[in-house]
Amino acid sequence: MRQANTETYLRMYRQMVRIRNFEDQANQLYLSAKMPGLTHMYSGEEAVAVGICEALKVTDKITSTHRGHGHCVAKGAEFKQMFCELLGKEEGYCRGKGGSMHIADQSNGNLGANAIVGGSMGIATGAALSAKRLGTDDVTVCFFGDGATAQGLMYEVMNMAALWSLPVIYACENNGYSEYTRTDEIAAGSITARAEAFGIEAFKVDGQDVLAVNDLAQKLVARCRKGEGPFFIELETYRYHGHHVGDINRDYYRSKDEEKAWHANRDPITNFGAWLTGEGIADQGELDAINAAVKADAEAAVAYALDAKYPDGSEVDMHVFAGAS
Amino acid sequence: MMREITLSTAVNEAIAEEMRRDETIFLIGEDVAEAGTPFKITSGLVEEFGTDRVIDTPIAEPGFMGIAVGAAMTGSRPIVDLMFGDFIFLIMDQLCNQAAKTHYMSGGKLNVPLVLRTNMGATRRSAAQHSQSLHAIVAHIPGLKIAMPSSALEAKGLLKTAIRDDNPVVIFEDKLMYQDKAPVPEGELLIPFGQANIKREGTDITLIGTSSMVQVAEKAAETLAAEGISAEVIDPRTIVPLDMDTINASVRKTSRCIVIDEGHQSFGVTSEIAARIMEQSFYHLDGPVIRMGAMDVPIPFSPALEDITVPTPEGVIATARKLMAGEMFDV
Amino acid sequence: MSDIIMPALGMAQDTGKLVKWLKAPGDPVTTGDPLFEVETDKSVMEVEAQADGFLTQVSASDGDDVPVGQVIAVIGDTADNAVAPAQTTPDPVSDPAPAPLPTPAPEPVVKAAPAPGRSAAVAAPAGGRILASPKARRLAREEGLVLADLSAHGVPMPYHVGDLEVLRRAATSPGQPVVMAATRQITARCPQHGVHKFIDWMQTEGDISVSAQAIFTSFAAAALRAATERNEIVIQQADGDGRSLRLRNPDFTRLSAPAHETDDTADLELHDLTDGFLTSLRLGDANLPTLGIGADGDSYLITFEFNGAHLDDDQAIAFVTGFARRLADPLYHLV
Repeated sequence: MRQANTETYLRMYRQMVRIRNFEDQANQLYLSAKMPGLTHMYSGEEAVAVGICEALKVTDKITSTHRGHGHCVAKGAEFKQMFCELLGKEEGYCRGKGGSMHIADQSNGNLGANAIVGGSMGIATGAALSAKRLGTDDVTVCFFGDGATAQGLMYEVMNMAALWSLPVIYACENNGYSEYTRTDEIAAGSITARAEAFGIEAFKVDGQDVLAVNDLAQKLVARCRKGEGPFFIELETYRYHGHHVGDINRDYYRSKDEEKAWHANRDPITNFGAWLTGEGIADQGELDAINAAVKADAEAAVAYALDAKYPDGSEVDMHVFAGAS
Repeated sequence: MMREITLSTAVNEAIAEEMRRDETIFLIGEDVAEAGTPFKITSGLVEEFGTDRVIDTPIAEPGFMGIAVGAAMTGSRPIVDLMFGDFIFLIMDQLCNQAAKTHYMSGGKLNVPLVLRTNMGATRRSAAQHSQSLHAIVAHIPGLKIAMPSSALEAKGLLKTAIRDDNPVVIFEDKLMYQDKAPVPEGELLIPFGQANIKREGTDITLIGTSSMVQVAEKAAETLAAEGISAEVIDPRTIVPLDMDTINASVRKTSRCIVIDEGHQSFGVTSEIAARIMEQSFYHLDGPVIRMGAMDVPIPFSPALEDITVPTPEGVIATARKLMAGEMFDV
Repeated sequence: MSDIIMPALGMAQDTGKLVKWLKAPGDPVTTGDPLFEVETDKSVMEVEAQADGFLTQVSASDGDDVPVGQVIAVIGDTADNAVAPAQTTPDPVSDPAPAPLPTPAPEPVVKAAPAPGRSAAVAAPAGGRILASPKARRLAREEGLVLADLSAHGVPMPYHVGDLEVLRRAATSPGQPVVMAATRQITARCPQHGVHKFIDWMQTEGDISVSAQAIFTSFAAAALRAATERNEIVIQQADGDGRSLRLRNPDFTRLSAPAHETDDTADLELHDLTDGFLTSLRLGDANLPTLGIGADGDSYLITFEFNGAHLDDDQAIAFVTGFARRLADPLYHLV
């Protein structure tokens, strides 16, 4: 298991902690009525985004979902611009025009979160088509949830990706719930079998184990670059929070005991930390230092973003069209 | 004597010339390769450019539209062929929620340089789900440009401009005009967006027509001229952006206007143009601006019924006479 | 130490109602313990503790409406300060103040008043509005043509630009026979002594000299204003030598002060005949409504000529009646 070096492991750990801290701060911003609109927390799923994105390079592309902060951080985004975007400030990644559900980071290959369930699957497949046609060896990862397997678009694009052998990895983050309904009530049959029906190789992995995710991702990304794609991964994971930040009392669809069990036994950060200290790669002090530094970073970024200015009103009709029009 | 080519050939030329010029352009849609589409427009392209650049898709409109959007966001310039304009309803999320809004939602950082080529026009006996003219619906969405060629000349010039535009552009070709010939010059031909064309000058009444309604207006103008009514015919060529300067100048000259379009009468392009004229040239109007669109009915199959539903030269002539006589149009 | 805030839970919510505390001030608290119940616009929800410690500095009570985001307690490391000092009540909350509505721009007041150069007959002819195209109206206004005159020429509505030719020809060649609307006439009589008494009173009490003509002019304006509800009234005073003076709103200026002269088209032409031999003018030529005041023994003879385009009959009757009333008792109407 110990394939990468210490630096890589610590970076993985740090990225997961960054995501957790970002979400905690974002949650607070919402609850204290400082953030406009709604957002969707990724807490609990960190190993999925980090495990996969650590196998990608900057020019590889990802598409994200409404639950997109984790992917955004994992693909290299900075706290300041992310918080600014969530608050609708001018320095946000999208100049405040996208918000949490449309956050995109073009320079890091993040083609954007999408508020339409399954809405970015076409875009991801198209990015893979571009890569193949233009002869880059870029790979695209399409993140989506178990709920999106109900969207027709998924089948249309997987069909074409398979027909044209596109370098795209469809990563299904199965967190057991599609909004407020259990997955087994909205997805008939097997999720991986859907991909296999198109002749696409499909894999299942424990989404809480960052090393397992990363290991699988590295293999599939390498094969994609050789033209062996597409691929499909189902990652078993869990979101600690509700569907969105206002979904606080959830026991009508999800039991507290279940939530407690995942927190206690399947937390990706806790477990990876335990593995690192167990293997002697890092000691608790180093991990604590990382935790503290990231927390401070996040707090500073939030303070910065709260103070930052909104875009000027004159920007409202800019960027409808590209170029002089 | 300038050569005359069909609208179909003009489109083919435009695509081929652009694809030779820029390798990032590719064509994607149903039956676009060997079959050249059911309208035989793209015949020959796959032989020149290969299946890598002329891509046949399964019958999966949302799918290949979404793929085109993603490709456009990542360095390619796709031309999407949507076999019938009626199918635009199938791709609305990818076109209107994704393509149209991506540049804006990303604060100007992501571009979607794609062209959606589709068609419009009734009286082909294709019934309600293959005869619609739905340009008004997408013209309503900020972030999309809409072009409406009225002949082979515009079909070539507007398509080439569309392909070079960094924004999502929807072009509606009139499916009944694919075999109609018109003079088209050799060589480079780029028609800019937002520039209307005055097809016939006149002094008594302005007739604004889109797509094949330009020909309807021109026929009406001929007959009206014999009665001593001098009609000016204007082809906006693109409805987004819309050239109101030319339209206003004409209406201020003539003080009377009829707008003719093949979308349905209610809530359509004619209403938008008429409203803008009313706002901007109000004190120059000597009569109401009259809208003439297709009837507000699903397009019927029977020829006896279908032909009644669309604007005709006779209808335009009758309306023009009424306007000139100062009659009222109240209900 | 960690703050406990009233959370934002619904989209359309500025406050949350703290239904009841589930822990008492000073109680020990573990992460995940339910702390209090909140009623939102949709339902009652439990809010859980996010930290371990003791419930302290409680500053909201059961039943309070608390603004979203406000701190209502603190999870402290010790049980000190269990209740917030001085029992601070949460900010008094009335209905959450709605965002101030943008002040609507003042509506442009549409006046029927003639602007300089504008025809007075944009005022409606008898009974109805004038229907004309925007271009016809604009050109009529610019050229000083009276659209209302078109009905006298037998031109049917709606009026278009072509119809203005009729008016242009009429303006440039008055000799041409033109069909005129029938002139109507109202006469009235009232005693003169009220006016004389008033003029004397002004002279003795205020040492102000006021002419009868000025009184006629002021009263004519006031009576016409009352009868037609127009905002602007211009009275044209004709003197015997063919000159005329147009005065704007003479009823608004003091009789002792000069009234505002104007070039605007007049609403009415006034002939003061009291100083000569004529008692009335009935010339049937009403381009403008014409009011003549002649003397006949102890009375004033009031003659008013107009046509249907100027005023309807009810308005004319009200005007003449009002004018005569004022003449009969000026003091009452002026003071």
